[in-house]
Amino acid sequence: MLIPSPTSTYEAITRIGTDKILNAVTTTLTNSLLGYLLGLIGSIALVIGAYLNKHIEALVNATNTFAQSISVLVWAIIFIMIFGVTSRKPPILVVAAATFPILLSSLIGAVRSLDEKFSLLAKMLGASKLQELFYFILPGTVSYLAAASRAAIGIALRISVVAEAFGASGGVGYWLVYSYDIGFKEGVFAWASILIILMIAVDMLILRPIERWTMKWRL
Amino acid sequence: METIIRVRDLVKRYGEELVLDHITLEVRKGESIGIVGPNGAGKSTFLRVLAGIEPYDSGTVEVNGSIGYVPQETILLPWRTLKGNILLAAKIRGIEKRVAERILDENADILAISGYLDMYPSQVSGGTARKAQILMALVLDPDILLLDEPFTGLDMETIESFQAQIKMLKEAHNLTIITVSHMMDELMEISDRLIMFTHKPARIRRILQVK
Repeated sequence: MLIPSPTSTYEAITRIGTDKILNAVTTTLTNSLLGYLLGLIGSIALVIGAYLNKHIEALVNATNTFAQSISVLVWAIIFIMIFGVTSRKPPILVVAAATFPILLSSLIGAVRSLDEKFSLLAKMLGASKLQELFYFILPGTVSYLAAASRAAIGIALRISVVAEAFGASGGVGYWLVYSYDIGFKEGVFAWASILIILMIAVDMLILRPIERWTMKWRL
Repeated sequence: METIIRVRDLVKRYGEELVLDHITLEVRKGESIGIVGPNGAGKSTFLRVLAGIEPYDSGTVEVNGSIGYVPQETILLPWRTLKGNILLAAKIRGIEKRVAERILDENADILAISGYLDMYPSQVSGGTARKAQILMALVLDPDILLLDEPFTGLDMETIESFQAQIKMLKEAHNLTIITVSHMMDELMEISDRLIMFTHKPARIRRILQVK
């Protein structure tokens, strides 16, 4: 049978073993999280720069358009060419490249909307541009960022697996392609199931509660 | 009595549209002024010009004191408690936290919102949020308080107690208060003088001495 039954997929999972699964899941989660954090830091830094300087704002808009137009597959190939197949860096950087435009677009929209809402308050209190940014705008972006992060981390997990599949640094993606290469089709479905469970667990247990918690902060 | 605000021939336009048409007005220290006029007459614009947050085209505006401005729409940070919002205003203005807390405690009692200070804006009524906005202005220790449509959306009973609280605040701090409303009866209770604006472009139609 081309598609293995749930029973044989489950048996494959037990055969793979807890240690190997935990190791691969940890690698994939770490790649995703580090890549997401890189994308987050980059987008926050650019948005702060854009808020304080009109010239940087033009650069940020151009960067955003550029980043959105490049396929993650292209990034994956470029980073593997630069760092090699055994390096841990390509999956992390590919995730960063994939999450960066999502987070940046969301932040740009949030900052524009919050600036409109709070400019009167800033004038009333005589707040400087920096005070407006750090007391009103940046805390206000948290709820927007939480919603964008939920989408970004979901993408990060999927993209991380693709990038791992190209390299040889471990992770769910690596073992999924390895199972395919050796003709272990139950293994392919086992690793795919592990990825699905991982994504649902991360979304339901971490991302969704954070998004819900920060929603009350939205104006 | 000392003049605290002196406005002469004030003209304000939005593009080609004339909004304030040669307004001349003097306000004495400790006076409570009500500005009444139809919706869209330019009353709020006038208040924002006095607050220094809206530029004007010609004329002069002299203000001999600090201003606390309370806008029509409540603007509180939803991620901070009412107290957090009020103390942040003081922090931005460089007012010592101890001083700000003292002013806050005194005035929260007058406005009867002491029990709500640890709540978030989303957890309190519109009236309480508006009082917190007034506290945000008061914590800056102003000489002049500008209130833009403070009674909008409140029921009659709440308006009456709010009016009494505004009078208490005025007496407690010897404040000069300018309140804008489109309802004359809301202003009669708290004003020494009523300034009536015409339809846009706003001119002073009549000045009524109430007390």
